[in-house]
Amino acid sequence: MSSKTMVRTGILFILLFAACENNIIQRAASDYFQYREGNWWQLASTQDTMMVEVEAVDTLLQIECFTVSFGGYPKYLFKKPNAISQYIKIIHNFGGEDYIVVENFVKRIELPLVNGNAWQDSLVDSIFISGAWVKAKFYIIGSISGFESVGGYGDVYTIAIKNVEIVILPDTVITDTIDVIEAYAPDIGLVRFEDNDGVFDLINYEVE
Amino acid sequence: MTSKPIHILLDMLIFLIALSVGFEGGYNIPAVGFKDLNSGVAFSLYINRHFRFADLSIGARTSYFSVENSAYSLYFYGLSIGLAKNSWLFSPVIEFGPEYARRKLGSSKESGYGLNYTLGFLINIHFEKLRFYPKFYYEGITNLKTHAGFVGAKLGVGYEF
Repeated sequence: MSSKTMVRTGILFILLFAACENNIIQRAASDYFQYREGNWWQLASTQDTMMVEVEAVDTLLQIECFTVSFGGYPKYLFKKPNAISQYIKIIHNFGGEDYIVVENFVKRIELPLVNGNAWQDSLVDSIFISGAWVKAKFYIIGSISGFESVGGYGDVYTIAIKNVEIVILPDTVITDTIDVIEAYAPDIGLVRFEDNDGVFDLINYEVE
Repeated sequence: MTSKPIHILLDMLIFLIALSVGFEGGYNIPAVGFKDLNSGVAFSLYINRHFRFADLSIGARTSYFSVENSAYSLYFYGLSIGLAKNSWLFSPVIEFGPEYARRKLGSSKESGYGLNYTLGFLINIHFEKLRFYPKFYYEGITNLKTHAGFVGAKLGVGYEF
């Protein structure tokens, strides 16, 4: 095999490789969650806009976590190499006084993101108030439903998250379920958010 | 006049004459991208042939990385062509080749291909037919859109026939 043939084979190999859409290095090496103070994402649906902003670090249960405002509703998130955890507090009001039934961090998204992965985590606790037990349960069921290459963003992962809050009182059971779908792009963050209010797509952002 | 396949076989036979074989093992630490990865282990096997201008090696390599989530693993398997100068005490080293990447979390898997390249230097210490060398390098991996890489150190041993 002459050196010319070897060089031509090498160039052909690189061109063929470049033509292939395969971003595994991007998916494995990138940070999909840009939780740093001051970062923001502006998303819009057909009827409304929503700002997602990372605010100052707060300390809850002796853990430093980021306050991430989703359209004005704060979520307290804590990022570890193996998960994004969320601070959950369930309060029961009895006789005009608030009682904390559940307070802890729950795994919101398991990391690293790998297509097809599914996880769940739960918090359960109870409190004895005025002669009766009040029990509360919060659980999250999450899964990565896929990824797709989106021009300008790279490989975007879509994550489905179901949040269920159950409060069991002596005479009733209160259940609140919220389903959200979030899409994250490498080194950008949230690019799509979907809940009961509609589908919001990224229109502007600033990450450092 | 020989046909092309016989010509290629002859080339391979010539390559296999006057060669040396070797083994390398060491650690890689994420340097560009891969922020959540811990350090990983890397191994390679190669055959080497001496040319006047440099020593050419062809090898197979693998590396493994883990993160804090013990269910996750990231493997790279690659082939490489490398150039170094084994007769020098301090020798630059350049390697490149295709890489297969596989990442797994529980039962979920992803895989794909990339290109690897290594730039570094090694310190050659000869004992008769044996050659020992520490090797320090930057190992990049790319899909021509995203670049990431590791700094690493390996200890290698080669035997010259």
